Amino acid sequence: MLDPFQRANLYVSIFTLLQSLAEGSEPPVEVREFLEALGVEVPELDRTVARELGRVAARDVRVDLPEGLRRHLHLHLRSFAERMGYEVPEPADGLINMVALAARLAMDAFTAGAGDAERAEELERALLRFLMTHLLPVLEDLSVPDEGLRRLIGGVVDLIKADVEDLKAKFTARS
Amino acid sequence: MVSRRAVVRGVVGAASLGVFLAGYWHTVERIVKPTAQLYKPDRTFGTGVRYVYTSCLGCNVRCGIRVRVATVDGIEVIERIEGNPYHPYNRYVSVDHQVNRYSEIDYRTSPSEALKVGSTLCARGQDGIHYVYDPYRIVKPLKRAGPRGSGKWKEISWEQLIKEVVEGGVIEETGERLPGIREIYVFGRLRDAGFENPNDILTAIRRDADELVKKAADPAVTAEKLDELVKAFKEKWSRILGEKGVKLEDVLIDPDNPDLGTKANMLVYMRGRGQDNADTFANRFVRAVGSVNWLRHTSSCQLAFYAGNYLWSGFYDINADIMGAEVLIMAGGALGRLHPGATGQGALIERAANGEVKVYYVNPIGPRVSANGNIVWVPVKPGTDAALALAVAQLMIKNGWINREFLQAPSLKAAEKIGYPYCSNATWLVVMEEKHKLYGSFLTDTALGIGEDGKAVVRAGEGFAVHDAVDRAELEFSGKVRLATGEEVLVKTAFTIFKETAFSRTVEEWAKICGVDPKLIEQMARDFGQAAPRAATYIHRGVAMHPNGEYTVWALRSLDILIGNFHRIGGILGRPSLTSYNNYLYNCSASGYGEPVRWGPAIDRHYAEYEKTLMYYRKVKRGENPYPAKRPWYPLSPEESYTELFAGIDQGYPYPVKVLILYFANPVIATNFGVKFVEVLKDTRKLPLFIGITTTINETYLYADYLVPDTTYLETGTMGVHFLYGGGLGRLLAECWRSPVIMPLTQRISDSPDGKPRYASFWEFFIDVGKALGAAGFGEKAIPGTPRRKYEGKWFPVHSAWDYILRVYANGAASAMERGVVPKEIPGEDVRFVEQNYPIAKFKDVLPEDEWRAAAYCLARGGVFTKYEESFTERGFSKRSVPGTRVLQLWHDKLAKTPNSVTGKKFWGGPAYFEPATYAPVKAEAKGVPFAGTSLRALYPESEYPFLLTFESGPLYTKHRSANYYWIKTILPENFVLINREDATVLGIKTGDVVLIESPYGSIEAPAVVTASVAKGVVAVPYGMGRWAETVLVRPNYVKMKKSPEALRELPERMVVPETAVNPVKHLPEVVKRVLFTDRPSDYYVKGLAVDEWRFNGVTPNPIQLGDESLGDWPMVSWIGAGQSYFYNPVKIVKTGKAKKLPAHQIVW
Repeated sequence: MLDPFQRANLYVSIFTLLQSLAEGSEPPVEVREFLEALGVEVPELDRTVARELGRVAARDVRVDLPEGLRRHLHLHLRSFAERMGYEVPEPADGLINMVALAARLAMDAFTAGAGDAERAEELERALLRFLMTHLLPVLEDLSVPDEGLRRLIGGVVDLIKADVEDLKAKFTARS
Repeated sequence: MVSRRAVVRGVVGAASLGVFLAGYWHTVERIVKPTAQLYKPDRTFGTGVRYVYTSCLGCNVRCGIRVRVATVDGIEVIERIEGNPYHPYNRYVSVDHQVNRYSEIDYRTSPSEALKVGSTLCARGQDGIHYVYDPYRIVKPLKRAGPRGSGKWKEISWEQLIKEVVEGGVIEETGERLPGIREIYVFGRLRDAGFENPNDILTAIRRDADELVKKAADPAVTAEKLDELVKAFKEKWSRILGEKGVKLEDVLIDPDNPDLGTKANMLVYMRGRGQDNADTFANRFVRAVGSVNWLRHTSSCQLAFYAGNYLWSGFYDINADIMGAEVLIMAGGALGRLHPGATGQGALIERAANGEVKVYYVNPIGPRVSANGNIVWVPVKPGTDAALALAVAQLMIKNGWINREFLQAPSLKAAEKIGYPYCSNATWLVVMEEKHKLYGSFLTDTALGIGEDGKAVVRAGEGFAVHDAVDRAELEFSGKVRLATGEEVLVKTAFTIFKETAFSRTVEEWAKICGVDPKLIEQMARDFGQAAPRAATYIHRGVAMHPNGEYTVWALRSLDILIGNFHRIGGILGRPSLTSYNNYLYNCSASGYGEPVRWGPAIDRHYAEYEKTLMYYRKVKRGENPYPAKRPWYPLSPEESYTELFAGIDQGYPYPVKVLILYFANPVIATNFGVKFVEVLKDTRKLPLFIGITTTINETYLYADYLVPDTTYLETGTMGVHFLYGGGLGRLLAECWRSPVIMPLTQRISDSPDGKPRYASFWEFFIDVGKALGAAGFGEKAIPGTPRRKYEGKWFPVHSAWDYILRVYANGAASAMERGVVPKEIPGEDVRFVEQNYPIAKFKDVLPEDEWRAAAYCLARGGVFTKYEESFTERGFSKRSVPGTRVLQLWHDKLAKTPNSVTGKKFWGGPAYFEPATYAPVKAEAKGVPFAGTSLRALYPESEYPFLLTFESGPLYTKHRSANYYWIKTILPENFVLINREDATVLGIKTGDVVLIESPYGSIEAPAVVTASVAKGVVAVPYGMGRWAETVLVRPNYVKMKKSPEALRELPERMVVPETAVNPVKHLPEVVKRVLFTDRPSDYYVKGLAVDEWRFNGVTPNPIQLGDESLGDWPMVSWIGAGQSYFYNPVKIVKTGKAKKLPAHQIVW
C-alpha cells in the first residue's frame, strides 16, 4: 500500500514522464529510476510517436461511450475538477491534463493529511473516482502502434490499477 | 505486467527516491490550479508570530539568523530560520537587491524595516529547527545505573545531581563510590580549616614553588641541594598547614613537585563546540575551583592552524580579506565551509563569477563551482602543501614579485616610516653554525660585542647594526662573524635561510612532491605576486591537520610576508574587534571576582615547558637523560589537545585527574582514531568521575557517570556574544549576539531566590555547584562592578543564567555606545520590538532602564556590526589593532631552541617542507624527519597503502551532529566514498560498488562514487555520518578495527534510558511533528527511544585514521601544536563484490 507521499510521487512521475515524452524531451533520470524501481521499464522511444501522446484526448479514445457523451467529456472533466476546487486548462480531457489532475489530487491529499484529515480523505476518494471513471479507461483503451510505448503504458496501467485496488480496500475497510 | 507484489517491493525500494520527486510537484501546480486558496499562507506577522535575531550554530562560523516562532495549537513552535540582514556574512535580499549580494543592510535600519527583507543563509542554518526538536534529546538529569559504558541510565532529581557531584555519590547498582568536587576544592578546604584568606596561603606556596624552580634552573645547584630545598619546602608548609589540621598532600597534587600546582588541577573541564559566553562562564567556574584545566577541543578544530600562525605573527587566527583580494590561494579550506562559511562565501563566489577575484583552490577535492573559470582547482597531494608554497615562493623571489621595501625595514620604527604598522624579521641575522650552542638563535648585539641589550643584529651597508638603529638592512647575507667570545660562526639572514629552503629543490621537484603541474604553479606565483598587496592566502584545517601542519601553515603564510599584505585591505587580517562585553560595567569575565590563586601546567601540557619543570631539572642534575618525557610538551601551542588530554589522564602525567567535566563534545567519534579514548573513559581508576553536559547521549557520553541535560542554541545554549573568525569579512568591529528564541525545553528546576524560572542546563549546573561549594563568582556576591566605572565597589548576584547574561549584554551595548556604533538615543520602536518578541525581555528588570534599552538595540539586530568601507585607513590598512607581535617572522628563534620532548632534538626554526612523520622514531633505520620521527610513508609504504584517505565538510554536512538535519537528509540521506576516475578504472570499480577502505588501524565499508573531482591517489568521505550512539545505540557494522577493537566490540547491545527523561518533541502539535519528520517512522518522534536509521546510517572515516606508533598509538597530532592529524591516512581499497544502488540525484556532497 502506498502512503500518501509515495502516491503523490507516483502520479507526479507518471505525469512528468508523459509530459516529457509529449514534448519530445528526455524524461528526468530520477523519474525514470523511480518508475523502474516500481517495475516499469522506460524504453527508448521514437520521438515522433511519443509526441502523439500530447494529442490524445479522452473523447477520441472512449469509443465505449455513446457519441454524445464522448463529445462532452471535456465538459464533464472540467466540471469534476471544479467541484474539487481546481481549474484545468483545455482540453480538460487531454491525456496529459488528466494525469496532471490525478497528480494534483494525490499531492493535495498528502499535504492535507498533515492537518486536515477530512479534506485528505475527500481528495483521495475523488482521486479513486477519477482513476476508475476516467483515467484508467483512457489508458487501457489507448491504441498505441509502437511496441515500446505500448509496454510502457501497460506498465503504468498496472501501477494505477494496483493503487486503485489499494484505495478501494482502504475505503471499503473503513465503511 | 507489473504484479502487485512487484509494486509493493518497488515501493519500498523507491521510497527514498520518491523524496526527491517532490521537486517536480511545481510542474503539476502550474497546470492544475486551485480555483480558491485552499491553504492559508504561512503567517508572517500578527498575533502568535514573533521574530528573534540571534546567532546560528549549524557550524561555528557564527552567521546571523532571524527565527520565526509561531503559536500552533497553543504551543510556541520555531517555524522558520532565515538569514539576518544586519549581519555581514548573511547579506540582505529583496526584490530589488538580488544580484551581487555583497552587502548587509545599514546597522541603524529599524527592525520593522529589516523585517521586510530576507537574507542569505545556508541549508544547515535553516535546518537548525531539527536540532532543537530532536526526539533523542535528554531533558532530565541521568546517572549511570550499571558499570561504565553499560548504557544503563536512571533519572535522578536535579538536587541529587548537584549534591552527588559536589559531595560524592555511589553507583547503587555496582557499589562504586564516586568522588565529589569538594575533595579537590583546595580553597574551600583551607577556608573551612580556618584560614581567613586562603589566597594568602596559596600565593605564598606558589611563590615558594616558583623560587624552587628558579633555584633548580641554576646549574650551580646540585641534585642533592635541590633535594634539600624541596625537603625544606615540604617541612615548612606541612608545619604551617598542620597548625590548622591540613596536610600538604591535601593542598598540592605532588608535594615533591609543587610546580605542578594544587589538587584543584585534578578537575578538568573540556568543551567541544564552545562559544562565548559559555566559554567565559565555564572558565569562571574552573577558576573558581582553582584549576588551570579549562580546555577546549581546539586540536580537533584549528589548533595546528593556530600554532602555525602563532609562529610567524604572534597571533593565531588570521585569514584573508576575501572582499578586497584580487587573488587568493585558498588551501585546505572547503568551499561551503571555511569562514565566512557557506553563507558568507557566497560573496566570494559572486566576486569570482564577476571576474573580481581569482581563486586558486588548493585541495585534494575539487571545488563545487568554477565561477566562469575564476576558481581554479589545484589538486594537491595531502600533506604536501608546503612543497607547493615553497615552489611558489621560489618563483616569486626569482621574478622579483616580492615587497623588498617592506622586507628590508628591520624594525617597527623603520617600517612605520614607510607606512607599515609592523615589520618583518627577514633581515635579522641567525647563527647557523652547526653544533654551536647559539645555533638557531638570533645574533644579538651582546653576542657580537657591539651592545648589551640582547637585541637582534642586521647587516647594514658594510657592517653590522642593531636592528632598530637603522632604517634599512640587507635582505640577503651569509657569512662568518666573530663573536665577543672570539669564536667565528656562520650567520645568515632569516630571508637567506628561507630562500635556501625554497631553492633547495627545483620547481619541478617541488611539483613532483605535491602532485601539481609546474605550469599551474607558475601561473599561481605570477598572479599572486602581481596582484600584491591585494593577494592573500586563505587557508585552514586541510593544510594544518597533519603532523607537519604548523610548518605547512607557515610556508603558505610566508608568501604573505613576502608581499607585505598583513593587516591590509585585500590581504590577511586577524579577527574583528569586539565590544567589552565581558567587562565594561560589570565584570562578567573569568577573573577578578576573588577566585583562588592557581598555577601549574595544564594536563595536556600546552603552552608549558618541560625544560622548566622540577622533574626535568632533577633528571638533568642526576646525570640522567631527561628525554624522552613521558608524553610530549607543547610550549608553543596556544590552545588545547584532545589526544594529550586523554593520554595525560591515562598516564597520570604530569599528574592524575579526578574529575572530567565534558561539555558539548564527542571526541570518541570526532577525533582521528578517537575510539582509543574509550579505554581511559571506561577506566574508573584513571578517571574517577566523569560528568557530561549534553543534549544527547553520544558515543562519548555513553561512558559518563552523570549527565546534565543541556539546552540548544535556539534556547539558552551558548547564549552571549560571539567573535567572528580571522578575516571577519574585513569589518573593524563585528560580533554576533545570541539570546534565546524559545524558553528551554529541558526540565524546569527550582526558581531563583527572586522568582526567576530556571531550567536544567549548563548554566544552572555551574551556578548550583558553585554555590554549593561556596565558590567565588556564584551566588549573592558574584559579579563585581568594573573598576573606574559606575559600579566600582558594588557586587551583583548570580543565582540564575539570566542574572549573568543580561549583564553581558549591558556591557556590550554600553561599550558599543561609547564607540559610536549604538546611538545615545535609543529608538522606542527598537526596544518595543525586543520586548514583544524576545523571551530574554522577560528578565529585563535585572538591568536599569537605560542599560536595558541599549542592550535591546543590539539584540534587535542580532549583534554589533560595522561597515567594510569604514574599516580601513586611506592607505588601506585595517583600523583594528595590529594583532600579534608586529614582527612577522621568517625565522622563529624560540622554536629553533625548543627540543622535541621525546627525542630531545631541536625543531627547525623556519617554514619548510617535512614529510608527515611520527613524533619520534618508530623504526630507527627508516627515513624520517631530523627532529621528529619516522616518515609515515616509510611505515606505511605506497606499495601496501597506495591511497590517502581524507574527508571534507561542505554546505550540507559539517559535523557528526549534522545527522539531525532532516531536510538536508532528504537531499543526501547516506554518504559514500569518493574515488578518482582514473584510479577507479585501474581498480575496476564503478559507482555503486561497495568497497573496503583499509588503513593500518582498521577498515570501513561504503559504496564508491567515481568522480573526477577528487585527486588521483586520494579517497574522500563526505563528513558527518556513521554514528552509533545518540541516546539509542546501533552497532556500527561498517567499521572493523585492527587497533583498539574492544572499543566497538564491547559496546552494549542497547541503551536503557527512562522514557520520561527524553524527547521534548512529544508535546508538539501533531501537524508540527509530521512536518518535521515527514516520512520517518512515527515511533521515532513519539517515543524518543526508537531507532531512526537516518540518524545512524553512512560512514565516518575517523575511527580508522592514524594513531602515532611512537607514542603508544594515541591519535596522531601535529608536532608543534598537538593539533589532531586527520588528513594523512594511508589506505588501500578492496572490492567486496557487493553493490548498492545510488540514485544519481543523491550523489551530492
